[in-house]
Amino acid sequence: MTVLDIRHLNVSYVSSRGIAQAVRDLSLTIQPSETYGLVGESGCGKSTVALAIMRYLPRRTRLDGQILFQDADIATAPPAVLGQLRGNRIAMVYQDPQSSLNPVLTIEKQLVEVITAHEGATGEDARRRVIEMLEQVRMPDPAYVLQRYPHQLSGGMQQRVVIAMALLLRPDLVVMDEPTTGLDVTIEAGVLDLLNDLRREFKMAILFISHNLGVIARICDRVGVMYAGELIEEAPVRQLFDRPHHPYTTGLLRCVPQAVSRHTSGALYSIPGRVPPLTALPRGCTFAARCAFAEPGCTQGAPQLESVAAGHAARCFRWRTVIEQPAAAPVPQPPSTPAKSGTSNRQALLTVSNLKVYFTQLMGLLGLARSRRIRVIDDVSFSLEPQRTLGIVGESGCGKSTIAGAVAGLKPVTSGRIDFGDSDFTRPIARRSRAALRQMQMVFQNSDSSLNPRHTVEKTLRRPLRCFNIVPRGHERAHIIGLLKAVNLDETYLDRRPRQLSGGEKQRVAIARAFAGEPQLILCDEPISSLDVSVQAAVLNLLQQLQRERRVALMFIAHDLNVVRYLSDEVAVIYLGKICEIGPAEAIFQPPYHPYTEALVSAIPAIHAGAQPHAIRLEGSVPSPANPPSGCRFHTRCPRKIGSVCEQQEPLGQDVGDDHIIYCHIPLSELRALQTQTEAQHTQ
Amino acid sequence: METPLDQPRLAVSSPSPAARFLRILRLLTKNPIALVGALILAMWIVLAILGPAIAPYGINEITAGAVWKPPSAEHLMGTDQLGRDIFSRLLVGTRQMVILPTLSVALAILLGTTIGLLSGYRGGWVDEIVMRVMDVMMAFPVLMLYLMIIVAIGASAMNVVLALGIGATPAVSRLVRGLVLDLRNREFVAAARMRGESTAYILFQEILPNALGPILVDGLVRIGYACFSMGALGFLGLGVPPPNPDWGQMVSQARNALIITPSAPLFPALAIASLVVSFNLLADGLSEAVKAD
Repeated sequence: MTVLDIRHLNVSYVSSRGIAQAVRDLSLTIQPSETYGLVGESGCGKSTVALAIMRYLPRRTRLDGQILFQDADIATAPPAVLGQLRGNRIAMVYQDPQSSLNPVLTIEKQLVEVITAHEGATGEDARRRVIEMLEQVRMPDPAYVLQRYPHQLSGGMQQRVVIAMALLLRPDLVVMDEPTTGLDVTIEAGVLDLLNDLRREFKMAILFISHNLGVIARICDRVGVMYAGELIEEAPVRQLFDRPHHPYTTGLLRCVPQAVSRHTSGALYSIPGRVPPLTALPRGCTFAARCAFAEPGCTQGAPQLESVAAGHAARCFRWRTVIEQPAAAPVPQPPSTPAKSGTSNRQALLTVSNLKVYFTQLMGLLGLARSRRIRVIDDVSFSLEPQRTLGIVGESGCGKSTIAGAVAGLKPVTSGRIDFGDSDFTRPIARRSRAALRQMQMVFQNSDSSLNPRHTVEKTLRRPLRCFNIVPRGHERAHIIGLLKAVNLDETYLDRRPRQLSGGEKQRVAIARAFAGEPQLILCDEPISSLDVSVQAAVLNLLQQLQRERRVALMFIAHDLNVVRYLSDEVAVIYLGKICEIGPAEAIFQPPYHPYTEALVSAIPAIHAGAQPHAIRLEGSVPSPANPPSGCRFHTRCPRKIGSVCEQQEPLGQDVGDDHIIYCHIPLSELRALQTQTEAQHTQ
Repeated sequence: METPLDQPRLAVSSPSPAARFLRILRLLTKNPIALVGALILAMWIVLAILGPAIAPYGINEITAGAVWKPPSAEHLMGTDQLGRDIFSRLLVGTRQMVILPTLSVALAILLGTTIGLLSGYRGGWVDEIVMRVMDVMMAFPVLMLYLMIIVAIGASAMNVVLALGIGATPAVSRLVRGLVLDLRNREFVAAARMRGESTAYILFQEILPNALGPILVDGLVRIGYACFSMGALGFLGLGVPPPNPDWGQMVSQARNALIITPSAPLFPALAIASLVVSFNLLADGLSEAVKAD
């Protein structure tokens, strides 16, 4: 029997700006104990589907079609019936565990409340069931956790509590809206493993929504791809990833950098254009404007979801051509690799030696009570040659952004040195000269806050030209248009303000601003993490193209290992304010690894079958930098810890050769042997 | 590559401040609540301009024998304790009631924004000291503060503006500081610092334009408060000195006649209330329009 049967669902949001058709003619079914993945970029209507199933829609929403769940039609059910279903038969897990939990109630209160509200059970009985459930979500020491408040738990633990809460009444259907998106890769990997176990144990149906194809590949049985409010392809998971029939799916799969370097794979594939606004959808196929296979006929009639194989449907007129000649899509030209220094005596552009950045946290009234030092960056050294790319990776809270902040002069340096060419860059911005400032610019993480919302694109780009005297006043406009062209925008953008730009366009303008002063080094602090997959690829291509043309060095900070691997010449892996491994990019991603790098690499959800690396899972989360562990900082979570030496002594660097250094107590030969062995086991 | 699509998209609007003003004005007219506020305010502004010209009697003109008369065809709102026409005095008093609170709030915004910008952006001990001084000022009951200022510098129209303006400064500076604390950590400010922009440029070009919306909305509400306060000062006899017709003073004097002629205090009180309400309604509408812009 089908658990959920959605038939011809249409949802539109009515506002003063028009009617946004968020979901159009969507039909899907979910069978018992099946995990159905819904994937697509932001603004494609995935979350609206989830909200429609829960009937958590804003008041001015038009909903029609049927949402059949166990004899009831949710689309028309009265509030009393909905109250019965929600939480009880259908549960939901949201993206951000912190906002799903009430900060002023203990975990016990919140979990017991679920049982009390729906089944009336109270006291010891309810508490026993709660503890059982926490054990089932692999929560260490449930009795202790019950007495905690949400803020006392780490993100991964919080999400476990939310999942436990959803499963407590053994619902028939769990809707999960990006449940792992806010978590670090190593934590995400753990939660995904857990979900994989739970869906077998509980035999429940899951609707799993995510923008991350790797996550979908790891957890789902069947997948639906949404684009501009429509389901454009639906297939069993392996079939979708191995033989996609819709050009959008093909494009999405090709956009994601796999475990490769740009030196071998060339520029990334990217989908041109962007998702059309839901208030003004084009005629015919909604994807036609961005499609490499589009013919004039595609914009005439709307394509229907058509069965292309057993259990596999695609909404495309030309799917036959798509599967026959996947190479028909334009193949990007591989870029010529940037100059590599053959000799080691070439002068470094940026040298950071023994950098320490400590923050003082004041506690108590006005900080009079006491203060504590947080060692955000503790003794970090690296160097970067002209025109090369240094990637810095690590989980959130490891201090990677602080390194960029210190180099940029935005964060005060506690001790150590930063040298840029011949000049001392240890000092903060206020004490750097104009000429020095010009050498280094930055592209920021958040495309929304990196441009001033009140400034036009022209004003944003004119300021660096003025500040650094790049061109005489009369030539500014022409120069700005040149900059816009360089980032694939044109002069129609001059008068726009950030509000009128898409995320990708904003980041292009931010990149143009960084390049405007003609610097030698650009610091990129997670420049693509706020963007959609198809746009990420385009921005990465742009960055490397500009880097080549304008001969700049990049310091590229990211949490996404594949992106760093793709773009970087050298990589530094940071854990809790310290470098644990540094070296040439190719060497970092081959054994021997530092155990932390090994865990990071194994946590990446891979898209293709067989590419799944061996499973090394980390326990717990990154400890507080206010009180870092003694000895090797990674020892508290290290799966390969060898003994008390890890707790007592800080590891020295072991040179693997070719400037590849691993800071670990385990001898290199042993590390290499252990890791090749595990990899061999898992590829069998 | 992501290429600009030439399909219809968000209307590209001109970036100049005047155009922004017009755009917000257009949004305002779509809001019925704001429209009511605007209409009431417009009426008072027209009366402020025309008041003295259309008033049937002079403000000091005494009708012999007509003391505390209820409304009649001759005296639309009745007469006061000296036999002066309340309607005429109300009309003539409109001008100062519209202008003085507005001026005082302009002063408060000028002072408060400067203090808030500097204090919020600098942070550290500067912020600590400035904000504690503001706290001390806010700890005083406002009326006490007005009393102290007016007693020290004397009662006059300008001094009422000064007192009301200084009285509202701490609250404005707190608001602005709060906005700055958020805005200064935005990445576009970091980008400006990396270009070596001066503090003045960052404060007035990068930060202030983004804080202007909330400051103006708050200011509009504050003009309403200032009308109230001016009424209160008049009521206490510390407003604009007689014989200028001051609405607050009119309520104050008429309260003695509450039993004889309830209409006497009613009309000036209603006038104050409607003016305050009109500013508040407009502020509500403006805050939505600014948000939508």
